[in-house]
Amino acid sequence: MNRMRGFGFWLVLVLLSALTAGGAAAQAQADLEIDTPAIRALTAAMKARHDALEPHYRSGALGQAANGDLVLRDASQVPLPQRAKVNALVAAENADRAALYREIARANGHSEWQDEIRATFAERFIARAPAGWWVERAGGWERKK
Amino acid sequence: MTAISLCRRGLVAAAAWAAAISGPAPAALNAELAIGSLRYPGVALDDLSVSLVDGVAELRIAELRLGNHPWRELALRCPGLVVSGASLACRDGHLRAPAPLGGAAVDFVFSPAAATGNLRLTWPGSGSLAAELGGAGVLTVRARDLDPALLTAALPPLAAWNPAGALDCDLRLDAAAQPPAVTAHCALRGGGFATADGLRAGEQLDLTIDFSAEASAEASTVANAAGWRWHMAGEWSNGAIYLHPVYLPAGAQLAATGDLGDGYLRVAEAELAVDGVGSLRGNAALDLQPLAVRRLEAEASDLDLAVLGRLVLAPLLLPASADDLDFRGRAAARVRLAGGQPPALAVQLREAGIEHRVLDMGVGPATGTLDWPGDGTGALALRLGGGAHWRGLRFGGFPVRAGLNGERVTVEPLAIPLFDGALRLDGLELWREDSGWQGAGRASIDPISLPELSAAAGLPILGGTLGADFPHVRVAPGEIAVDGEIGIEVFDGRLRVSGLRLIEPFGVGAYARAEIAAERLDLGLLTDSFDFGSISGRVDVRVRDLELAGWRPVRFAARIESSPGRYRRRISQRAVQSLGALGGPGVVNAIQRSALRFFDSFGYRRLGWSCVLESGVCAMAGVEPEKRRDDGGFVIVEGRGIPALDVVGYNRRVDWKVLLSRLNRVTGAGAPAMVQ
Repeated sequence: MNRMRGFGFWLVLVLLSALTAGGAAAQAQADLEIDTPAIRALTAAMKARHDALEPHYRSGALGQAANGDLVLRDASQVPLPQRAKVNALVAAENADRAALYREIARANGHSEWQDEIRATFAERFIARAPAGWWVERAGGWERKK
Repeated sequence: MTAISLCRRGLVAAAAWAAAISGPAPAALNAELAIGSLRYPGVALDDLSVSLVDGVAELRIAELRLGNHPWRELALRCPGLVVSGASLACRDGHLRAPAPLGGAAVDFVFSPAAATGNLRLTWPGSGSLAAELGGAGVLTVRARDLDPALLTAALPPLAAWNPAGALDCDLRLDAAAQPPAVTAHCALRGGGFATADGLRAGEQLDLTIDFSAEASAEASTVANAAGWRWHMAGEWSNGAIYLHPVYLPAGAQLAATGDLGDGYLRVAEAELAVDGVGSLRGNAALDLQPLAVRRLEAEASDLDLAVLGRLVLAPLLLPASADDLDFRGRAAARVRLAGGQPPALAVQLREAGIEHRVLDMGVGPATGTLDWPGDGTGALALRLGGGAHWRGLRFGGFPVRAGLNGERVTVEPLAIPLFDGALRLDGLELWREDSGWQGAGRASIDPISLPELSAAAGLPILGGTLGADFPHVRVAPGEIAVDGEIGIEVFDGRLRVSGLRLIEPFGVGAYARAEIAAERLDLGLLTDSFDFGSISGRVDVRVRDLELAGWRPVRFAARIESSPGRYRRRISQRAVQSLGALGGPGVVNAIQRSALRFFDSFGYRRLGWSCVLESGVCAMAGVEPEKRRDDGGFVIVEGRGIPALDVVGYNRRVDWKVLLSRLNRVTGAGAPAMVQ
C-alpha cells in the first residue's frame, strides 16, 4: 500500500514537473503551469486511474510512448480476464492526456501549440519514469535502468 | 511411372528385405537398402533407406513433406527389430526428427504384404499417438493427452500462436468403404494459445469437435478421390479468449458442412451460435494454396445488442468509455466478400439504443439500416423513435439519414423535436483528418416555450421563449463552436447568448464558454420568478467570459445595472432583506433597519451590481464600480425619496459557494430574519 501511495505521489510529481519544467520549445512560449478547472478535472481523473495502471507499468505491460501516449506494449503481462479492462483504461488515459494537451494550449490562448506541449509531456513522462518501467526512445522500447 | 506404382515397389522391396532377415535381427548381419522415394497425395518421402548395423535397424528419410511443409533428416532407430514371417516389428524405437516431433518413443508392427500393422508414438510429457491399420483397410488413430504444440509440425503457422493443452482424438479412416469415409472425435482440455504480444490469446479452453467426411461418390480409393464431403460440429464450453481488444468468455457452438477438393475448401453451410448473443449463418469458398477467401457470405438475423455491445462494440468503437456504456435492442447483419474486394456490410437495427451512464446521455431506441456496399460509400437511415436525451433534456423522435463517402459523412437536414420547438441541423458534414474528426454545418432552434424548458432544467417556471440561429457550427477535436446566438424572450426583454463553445464536451474536463447580454429586463417579473422579493424596474445584464465547468459557472465577469430611461423603481422590504442576506452583515445599517419595520417598499434611484468570478471568489462592486466609499462599502441600491434607503455591500470578495448557498436560502423557503 505504501508503494502504491509512493507511485501516486510520483504521478503528481511527474505532472507537476511536466507542468513546471522546461526544455522543449513550447516551454519558451507556453505557460505549462497554467491552471484551469478543466486541467484540474483531467489531472484528478488521471491520478485516480493511476493506481489501477501502476502494476502494469511495473510488469512491463504498459509503456510511455515517444508521442506522449500510454501504450499496451506487452499484453501478455496482463492476466487474460483483465486485458480488455486494461485496454479500456489505456484508451481513457490517452483520451484524457490528449484533452490535457489541448486544454493547456487553449488556456495559453494558442491551440496550435498542442503538438509542442504533447512533445514536452512525452519527454517528461519518459524522463521521470522510475527504473523498471518501459519507455520508447528513438532507438525503440527499452526498460529504464 | 506413377507415384502409386513407385510406392508399391518400395513396399515390395521392404517386404523382400524383411523376409531375407526373418527372425530377430542377427548382430552379425549388416545390410543397407535404399528404397528411393514414395509418393502419396499430399505426402512425399524422399531418399528413404533402411539399414541394419550390429542388430540395430534404422529407417532414414532425407525429406518428408506433408502438403508443402518439409521435414529433413528424420530417422527411426530400432534396437529391437524383430522380423517374423512377412511382418516387421520395432520395439523400444526412437524417433529422431526436428522439433516438436523428435524424441518420441516408437513401437510398431507392420506386415507389408497384408498391409496391416500398428504404431505407437509416445512423447514424454507430451502425450501419445496410437495408429492401427487393419486388414480391411481401416485405419484408426487414437491420440491421448497430446500436446497441441505437436500440431505445429503439420501446420507451421500455428507455432506463432503457441498452442497448449491436452488433446484427445479418435479417428477412423475406412479406406475400403465405397466411397471411403473418415470420422473423428477430438476434445481439447485446458487448452490455450498466445501470440508473443499477448494481443491474441486463450486460456483454459475446453473444446470438442466431431468430424466426418466421405470421398466423392465416384471415388473407389482414398487416393483417387476427387474431393471429400465433410460435416463438423464443435462446441466451446469453457475458458475465455482475448482478441484485442475483445474479451470473450466461453459459450459457442459451430456446425458446418462442405467440400474439400484439390486446392480448395468450400463451406456450404455453417452456423455459429454464441451464447447470449445470437447465431451467425454463412457459407464460403476458400483457395488453399495459397490460402485466400474467394467468396464469403454470413448473416446474423437476431443479435442481442445488450451483450454484443458490451463484449464487442464498446471495446472496438469506444474503448475509452467501454465501462460506462449500456446497449439495448436487437440487430441483424449481413456481410459479403467476393473476389478480393472490400467486404460489403448491411446492418438492420431494431429498437437499438446506447446510453452513457457517466455523461447521462443516450440515443434511441432506433430502428433502421446501415449499409456499406464495399465501394467506399455508405448510407444510414434510422428512425429514432425515442429520440435522445442529455441529462434532463429529452429530445423527441426524429428520422436521420446520412451518406458516407470515404471518411466524410454528410447528414441530411435534421429536425430534432425539443419540447414544443425543434433543434434543426442543416448541411452538417463530418470528416476525418489526422488530428481527428472535423465538422461544419448550420443549426437553429425553433422557438421553445420557456416554462417547460425551465422546469426540465430545475429552474423556477419562466415565461417566454427560446430560439437560436447558428449560421456556422464548427466541430474540431475536443471542441464544438457556433457563430450566432441564442435569443431568449424573457422578462419582457431579450436575452442573447453568443460566442457559444463546448470544450471537450465528452470528457471529464468538459466546459462551455459563452457571452450573455440582455437589455431592459423587467425586474419585477424576474424577482417574482425567483421568490426574491419584488423589485420593480428594468435592468441591463452583461456576462462576459462565462465559463461553465461541469455545467456550473467557474469564471465570468457579470454586471447588472438599471437600464436608462423612465420607469417605476421600487424595492420591497422583502427584496431588501434578500439583498441583505446575500451581502452578509452590514448591508443595511441600523437606522435603515428601523425604517424597514414601517414601510413595505422603497423608491430607488438606480441599482448596480457586478461580480468577477475567478478561482472560486466573486469580487463584487456596486452602482459605481470605480468609486470607493470612505467606509469601504459599495452601494448596490441607491435610494431615492423618503424614506431613502441605500443597500450597501461591505464584503467585496465573497466565496462563490457561500454566495450560492445564500442565494439558495433567500430564494428558498423565504428570507431568513437577518434584517429586523
